[in-house]
Amino acid sequence: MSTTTTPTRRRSRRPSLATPDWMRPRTGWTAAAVIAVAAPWLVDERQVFVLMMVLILAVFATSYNILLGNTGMVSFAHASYYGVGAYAVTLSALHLGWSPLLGMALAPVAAGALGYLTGLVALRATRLYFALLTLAIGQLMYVVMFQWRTFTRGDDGIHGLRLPDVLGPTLNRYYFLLLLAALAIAIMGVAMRSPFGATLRAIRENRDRAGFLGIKVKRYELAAFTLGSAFAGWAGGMYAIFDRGSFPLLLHWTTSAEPIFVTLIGGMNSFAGPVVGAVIFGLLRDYVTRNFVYWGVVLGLVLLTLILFLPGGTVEGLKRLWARFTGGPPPEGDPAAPDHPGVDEPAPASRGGVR
Amino acid sequence: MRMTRRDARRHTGARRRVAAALLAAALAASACAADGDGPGSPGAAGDGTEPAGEDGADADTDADAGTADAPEGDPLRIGMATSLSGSIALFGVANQNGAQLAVDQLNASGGVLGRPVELIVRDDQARPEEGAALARDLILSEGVDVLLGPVSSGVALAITEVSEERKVPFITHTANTSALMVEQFQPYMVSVVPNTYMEARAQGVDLADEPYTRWATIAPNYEFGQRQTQTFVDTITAENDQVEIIAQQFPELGEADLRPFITALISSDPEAVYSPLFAGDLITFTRQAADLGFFEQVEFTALYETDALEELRDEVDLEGVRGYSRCPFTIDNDQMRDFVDAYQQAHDRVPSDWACMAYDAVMLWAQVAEAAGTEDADAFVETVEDFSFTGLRGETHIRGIDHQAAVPSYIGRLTFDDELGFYVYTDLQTVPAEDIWLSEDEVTELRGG
Amino acid sequence: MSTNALLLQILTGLSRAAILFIVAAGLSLVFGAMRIVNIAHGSFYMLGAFLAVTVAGAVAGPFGFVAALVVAPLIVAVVGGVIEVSALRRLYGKEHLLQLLATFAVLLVLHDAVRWFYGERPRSLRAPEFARGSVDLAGTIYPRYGLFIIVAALLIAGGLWALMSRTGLGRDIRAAVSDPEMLGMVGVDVRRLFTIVFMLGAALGGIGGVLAAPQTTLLLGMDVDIIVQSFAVVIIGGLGSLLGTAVGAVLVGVTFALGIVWFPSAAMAIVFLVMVAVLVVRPTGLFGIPEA
Repeated sequence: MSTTTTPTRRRSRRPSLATPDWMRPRTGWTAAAVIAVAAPWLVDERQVFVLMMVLILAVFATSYNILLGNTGMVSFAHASYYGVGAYAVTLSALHLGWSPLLGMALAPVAAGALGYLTGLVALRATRLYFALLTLAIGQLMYVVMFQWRTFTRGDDGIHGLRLPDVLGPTLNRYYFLLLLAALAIAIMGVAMRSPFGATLRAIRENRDRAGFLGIKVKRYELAAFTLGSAFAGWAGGMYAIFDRGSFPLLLHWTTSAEPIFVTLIGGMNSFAGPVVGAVIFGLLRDYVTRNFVYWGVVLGLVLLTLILFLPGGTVEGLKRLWARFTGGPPPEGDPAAPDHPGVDEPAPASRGGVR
Repeated sequence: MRMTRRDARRHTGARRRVAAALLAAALAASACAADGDGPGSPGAAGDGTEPAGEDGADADTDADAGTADAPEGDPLRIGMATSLSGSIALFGVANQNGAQLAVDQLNASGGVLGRPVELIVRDDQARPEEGAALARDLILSEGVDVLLGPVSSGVALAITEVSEERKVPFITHTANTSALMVEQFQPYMVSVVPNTYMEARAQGVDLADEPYTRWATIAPNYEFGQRQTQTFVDTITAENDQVEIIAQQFPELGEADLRPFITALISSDPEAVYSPLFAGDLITFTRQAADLGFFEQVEFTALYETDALEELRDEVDLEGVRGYSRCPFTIDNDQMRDFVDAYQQAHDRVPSDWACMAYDAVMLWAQVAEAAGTEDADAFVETVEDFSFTGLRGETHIRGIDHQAAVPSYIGRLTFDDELGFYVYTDLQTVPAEDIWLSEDEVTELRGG
Repeated sequence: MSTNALLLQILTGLSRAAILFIVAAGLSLVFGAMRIVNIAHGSFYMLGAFLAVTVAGAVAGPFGFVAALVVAPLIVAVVGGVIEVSALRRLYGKEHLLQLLATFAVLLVLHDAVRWFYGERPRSLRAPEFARGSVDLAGTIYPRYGLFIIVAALLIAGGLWALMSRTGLGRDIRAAVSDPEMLGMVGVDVRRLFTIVFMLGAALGGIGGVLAAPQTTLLLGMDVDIIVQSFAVVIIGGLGSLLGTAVGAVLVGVTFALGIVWFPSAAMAIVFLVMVAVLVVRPTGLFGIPEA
């Protein structure tokens, strides 16, 4: 998280460092895998659907974090690529008679291609104006999907996608989506641990310095944007299979808020953050909207509390708690913020973040 | 008597509004209030979602005068997923009130199959994925026997999929896309609302006889508005070859400023304008159009429903305007008169179309269950085909091929009602469903054989 | 299209621009001085409009609207102040994304708070006596209230200009816009300044809501609708620039009004296209402050 840490510390900020033993990647992911495989046997059928949505959110948010946590870009168009992925499945089934499995393969390709093309335009701007340009581009894609009724069935959306029989039973669908989610997260994990990922983080830390070092910043940003879009499309394809349909609201800018919140809750500075966030947000939202009439107030206040008191996300909070418990050194990221408001800019200014 | 109740309500309303000023307190308080409607009282969801300051009286206090045997046993459950937030929330609240009244009356007269009936209402936020999730939730966790709702067609299409997958009856009473009967038909779905095709055709056929040839349209820019306008245009131009469509406008749903659209319409100099705008949009349109001298220049016809008319009061002169309605409370029969009385008792206002049709949906389900002798879903499907139920629109037949109730479309002229203080429909003409719905051959053809 | 029709279309575009300007000016001001993109700004607009109905109802008679125009924005400003002090202030100096998200959370809370108090029914407010009815402008019938809000927007623009160029507060704000680092050093109480700026921004949103109320229908959801359009305005004009906001508002309002004559079902898409085009050519908007 942003703060006044020393350069040495900041350089050491890697998902795998300063992590308690049980949270070290291999242990953590193994535990997550065991839980994910066992979970549907421990809950009722309705909750399996909630879990499926959690899987989709996890991929969606992790793809977003390629932009946000790794490269420092805030995009409001991310939902558009998610929606395009979902429509890739439903439209190819509707117009071409493709199997949803084939459509699922198309989803990241279509979203990635669109991400590349729109990324070329959006990356003409930087930081805040980049964020706002993505808002305009995203809304444009939403309007097209909404208006092009003969092709997309407009606002009614496309529902009732026919799945292969094997995906009919809820459990089978869950495990299929789990497989897709695991695959996507594994690929993104490898990419972010590669030199490519390291370069992206160098750009986030200091864009200018990265430029001086000879890194072709724009090219890397475009690559990150394209990769993020492709996996947003992947998540969208999963959604289409989950819900057996797609509709224009999936592309709306307010849908982009979801992966942002998820990432924020989990923590954007670790690769696992969005996955943890997806579990918390998915379950929280299910509980709040089921039980509260004025769910917006409750959800808003919970989120506000998190932002105010746990700005590093749950993962960092857990690390800090662990550190205090074991008496070890606190994790990177100083909880105390500089006191003078706004003016003292933290070094890792998000490129899309304001200012 | 009614005046005093209204005054009392206004008084509490005013106090509440003063409180609105203290927002800091409000935030904390609203969280608490939400808490009160929380998990502890799932069955009370029906009452808990009443908007503050409105419709304060509780329906079931008026309905316990029943003399029949008290129902006993496990309650039968009706799940309603409708929009209680967002710009179409008004309809969702009316849906809830209408259905709740039906449930209270059923319980007062011995329940259904001798068992009590319970209504569980959830907010779909007008989002299809929420609607589908809620429908699934209502079936899997609450064990509902039938699904009701929603307002939005996109949500309805998502719910109908869940209904088919889970084999639970789904009665649509507000969302009316004809895709439910055609492309996406499934046997557990029944519709008690005239679908987009029927509604627009009824109006096209009716208005083709009017002496106007230069027509323009203005409709909300989404599936319903587009579909309805297209069917209207196709119908009226087929019925009357003199008719010419000279301008079409499609503002966004919820557009706050319709004046540029209105002036664009005026500039094209039409004789008459057809509009499927509704609710808040129609109120906005009427006000802004009046200021621009629109009503003096063109003949206007639209879906003026009770909520909009109630809000407009006498602000704009609408005397004699030709409007159409799905289920106006001025229908002249015993069932409707009783319903309006009961609704006024409970909510201190007359019911809107959306309350009436939700009431009908509950009554249809109850009558089918009684006729079948069971709440079983497959028995419901078997019984509902070619079933006739008695609702607020009289004896209504359900067609086998697409499970569309043969509900008429209502066309009338607006006239000011001094007692109520707003415009209501008179000279209601009914266009029978049989004259306007898709023929069975057309349905088969559109489904792709 | 006839000259009269064109004039009418442009006038309606301008009255649309008037509301957009007032609301977007608040958004732009807060961004300029505080570097906060306030997603909850639309909530201030909605709150202002609903409160206007309450106030005008409480103060019956000819002064109801005037009272609403004064009291409602004041209450909105207080609400804004509470939000700034209790939430946003804790986030200065932290990543800007957090501030953005905090305002999004505030949007959720305020939306449901309004829903809770006012219910789902659409509300409306009658125009003040002096601005009812229509005027005949050389054969073109135009609502008097439309002219009234155009004049109101001009007055507010003038007032804001005077505030920024003629007062000490304005000087501090301008200093914050051009060089935030310097401000603390020259002894300005930055905390207080930010609270005042945020309240002023909220009040502008509230005034926009009150002025919009008599010509429209108040619906839940008007908060999100206005925010997207206000963003379009400030993005085109350039965040932080008052002049840019005015130009952006006129451009969006008039483009929209003329767009619907020629491309009836794609007017909003045209606005987004203009927005993309402007940003591609000038990435900081027409009059935007360049990023440091």
